[in-house]
Amino acid sequence: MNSKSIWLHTLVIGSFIAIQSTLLKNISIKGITPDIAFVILVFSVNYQGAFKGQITGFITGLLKDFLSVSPLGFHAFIHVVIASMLGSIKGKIFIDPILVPVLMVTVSTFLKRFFGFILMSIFSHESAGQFFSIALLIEIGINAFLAPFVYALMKAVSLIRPREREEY
Amino acid sequence: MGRIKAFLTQHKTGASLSSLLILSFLLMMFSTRTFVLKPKEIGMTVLSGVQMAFHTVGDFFKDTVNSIEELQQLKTEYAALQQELFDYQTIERDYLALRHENDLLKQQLDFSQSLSFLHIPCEVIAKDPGNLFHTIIINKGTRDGVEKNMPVIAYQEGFQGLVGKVVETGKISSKVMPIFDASCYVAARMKDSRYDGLACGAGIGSDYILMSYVSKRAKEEIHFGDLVITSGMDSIYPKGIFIGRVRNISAPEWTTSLELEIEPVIDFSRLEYVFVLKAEQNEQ
Repeated sequence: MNSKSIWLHTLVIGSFIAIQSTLLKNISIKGITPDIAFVILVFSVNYQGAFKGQITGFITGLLKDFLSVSPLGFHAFIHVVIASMLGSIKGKIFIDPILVPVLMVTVSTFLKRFFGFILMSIFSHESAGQFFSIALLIEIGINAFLAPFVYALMKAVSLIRPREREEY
Repeated sequence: MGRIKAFLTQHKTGASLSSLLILSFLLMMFSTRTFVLKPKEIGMTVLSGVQMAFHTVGDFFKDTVNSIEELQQLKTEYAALQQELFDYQTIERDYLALRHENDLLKQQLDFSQSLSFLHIPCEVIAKDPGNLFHTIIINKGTRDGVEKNMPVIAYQEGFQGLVGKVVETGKISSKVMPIFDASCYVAARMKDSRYDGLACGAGIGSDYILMSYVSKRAKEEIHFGDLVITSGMDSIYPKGIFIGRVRNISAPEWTTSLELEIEPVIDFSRLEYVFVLKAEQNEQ
């Protein structure tokens, strides 16, 4: 995998960030929109590995920060942390079509919220509120539900491919 | 002659029967005078019966052939009508959508003309891409005169309701923090009882606004459904803009004030057009 793939993954995730903030803005449950871009990021960084995943995570995080009211670097930080964690387990787990994608996205969404809460608390942001909330459960639920479909779609369009033997 | 005589003699019973029958018949004919024998008519009747039979058979085959042709024609016409119906349905849908948009824009225009403040009409183009923050992105920026901390209102269901404030501006777009964001504070007042308080968003996942610092003495005077407006006190928000309606009142023992749950008058899920207010009064 060369640097072209980093840009390709970044472009796809960036496009979904734009799509979910415009076209999908009215699809929400109690104000929570499906974070498809994040779900793609989860599989993308796990496929790319820690280093390349972190670069992708950082750039896409910055894109989110530009479009959000969040402090610049907020989403970038969270994406980099999650990318390094998921990238480090590249090739160490077998990813089946349903269970593991759901599990990966569930844990990643939880971590995203957790690191978001920690950062907002550190920077005394009023939006920090409570960590355990109905919003957390809804977001985990929606993202986990979408995980197998997104994973299958990414495989179908060859954004991620089955691993080569030497990677195991 | 001899042979006839011999035949009649031999069959005399039959011959007499025939003769008598014919005779009786003739007598009846002449006595009644109603029986008129028309051989041509009889022949025509018989033949027309045959003709009718042929005609019926011919008609049957003709109708069958015609039916097949008619069926094909009907099928074509049905397909054409179905297409026409689909076209009309599309036109009707477009018409309804245009009428709805027209009504909406007319409302917004009427509202825009009635506003006492100078304002910038904007369209909502996006929302926050993540779920950790609330942002509404509008299609006007510094180029159109939008500045940070300008109040944003909208017109829905006959109410001019508070949407939030501008928190970031770009050249062609701006970010608006909605009032239900936990970091958005608004000086509020009960419209009828005139008690003051501070409204603040309840955060992500909540569909209400919390109004605190309302005196406990107000408990008897505040009712469910009461309207809450901006007080205009030491605030960027002008006075008298609707925020929402009281939907729950609580009086915790550990505080000296009431806590009110306010349901916003603006339905944020179907927010399309907003107005950014400038500080100057509209002189028109």
